[in-house]
Amino acid sequence: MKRLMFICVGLFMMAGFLPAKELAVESHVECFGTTCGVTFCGDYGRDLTNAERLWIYDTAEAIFCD
Amino acid sequence: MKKNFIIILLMIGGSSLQSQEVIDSVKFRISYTLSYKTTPLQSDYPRTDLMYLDIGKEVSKFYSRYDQIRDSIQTEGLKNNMSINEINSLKKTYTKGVPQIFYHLFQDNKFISTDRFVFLHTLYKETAKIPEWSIGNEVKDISGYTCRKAIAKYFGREWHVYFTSQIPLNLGPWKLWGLPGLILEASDKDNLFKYELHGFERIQNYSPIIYTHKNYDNKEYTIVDKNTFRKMERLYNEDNSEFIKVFLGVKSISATKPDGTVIEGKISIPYIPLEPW
Repeated sequence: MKRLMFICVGLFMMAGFLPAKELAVESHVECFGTTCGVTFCGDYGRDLTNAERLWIYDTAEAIFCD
Repeated sequence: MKKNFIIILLMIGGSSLQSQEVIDSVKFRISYTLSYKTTPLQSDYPRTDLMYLDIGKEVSKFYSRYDQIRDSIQTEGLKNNMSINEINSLKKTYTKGVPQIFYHLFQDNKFISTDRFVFLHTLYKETAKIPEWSIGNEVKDISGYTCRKAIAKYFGREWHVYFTSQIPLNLGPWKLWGLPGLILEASDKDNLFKYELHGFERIQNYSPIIYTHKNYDNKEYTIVDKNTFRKMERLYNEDNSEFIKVFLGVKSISATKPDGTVIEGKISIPYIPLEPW
């Protein structure tokens, strides 16, 4: 019983030295400048493809400049 | 070099070389001018587009020629590793068109509609129900064709059209069909949309009808039911920043004017749907 207790305490102490695993929150902000001077930024959380960048630009133009 | 790039692209029909599936070949191409409003209070039509109705043996495809050209420039520019700025510079010289495409599958009696919301491409299918046309006595000449007037309430709007039995194709612009002749002109009762015949061509050389259901990044279009599509369409246009957060997973958005002022509140796009919400 005492041995079991020492093992548990030892494990508990070791756990305290283990590095804390942080939740990874990826952030990826990209900004697009439109022809009418509005800058449109978003945190997309990932790298965008060039096709996606072009479509975002078209949307920003439609919203702010058309 | 850029000018030659565009010329070559337009010579090959300007068709997008995205992931695509040939589903038929064009027998007839009818072009329409689309004039439309973006808010109900506009007195005139501020926007125009050039629409193609490609009719094959099994399917028809209705799309914006302008959007097709700009989309093709983008696709070819990406394939040729042009920069974003270079591609945008090329696209800027061409008129914008509506991104929606409508396919009519004759044997399956189905419509397939696709649309693009930022970089989310969607697709929905529905039964191609025939409008309940009421054919009147009013007759007029359109480009040398004798046309008769017909009216129907269809998908939430009352459509007034002119069709000609001299072209025995029971089709028309958008989802309008089912008359004993081709529809050459169509407008809704509230004068928000107007389709007018621009040209009619019998296509002699092989020209494929392409069903595009994957985007440039080779991702399949997201298939949704029509109700979901309409909710997406409404949110996209009425509250674009909310749409981007909900459907594209974007965490935060900001828009800043040239003087540094942050644009607050809802970001919306002036837009009237063909099928009212």
